[in-house]
Amino acid sequence: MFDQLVGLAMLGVAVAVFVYYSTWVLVLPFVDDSSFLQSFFLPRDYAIKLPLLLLLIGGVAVGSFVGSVLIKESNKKKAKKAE
Amino acid sequence: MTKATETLLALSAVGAVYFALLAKVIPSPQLFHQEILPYLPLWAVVSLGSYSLAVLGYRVFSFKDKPEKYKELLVQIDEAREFYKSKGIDLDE
Repeated sequence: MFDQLVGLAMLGVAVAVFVYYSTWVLVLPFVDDSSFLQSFFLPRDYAIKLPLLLLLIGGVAVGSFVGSVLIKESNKKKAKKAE
Repeated sequence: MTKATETLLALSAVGAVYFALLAKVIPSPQLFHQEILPYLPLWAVVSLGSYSLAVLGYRVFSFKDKPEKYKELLVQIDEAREFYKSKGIDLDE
């Protein structure tokens, strides 16, 4: 039951992100500057900065995880050799 | 043609069209060129990410637990362990 909720949440987040980002990037330039639609979106240069920042954070997280696993593994091997 | 060359070919074709548009070899409207074109690569990355997340979420959502299969697998693992032990190979270090 909980698994299904998590899956549904992931699906929902993915669809929401895709729709929001697509309107932000592809539709907004054709909408008038004074339209109320513009108030739902950050200034346009954040459409590049925000994903890049997330990408950077994600890359650092993945890299540090892999690094920590490698370090632990080599420590284990060293401990085994020392035995 | 292997899958890799196919993918590479498709990617380079899309890339060629994109850079042709960017370098104004293929003419495009001013607004499109200035406001949409620079954002397209990141849009592709974001789309790929949300597509992957959606597929993962859907698979998690439609995943069915099969308790009988789990028990069957445990029995099979025991069988395999016995088999290898009888041949003189110890799998648990």
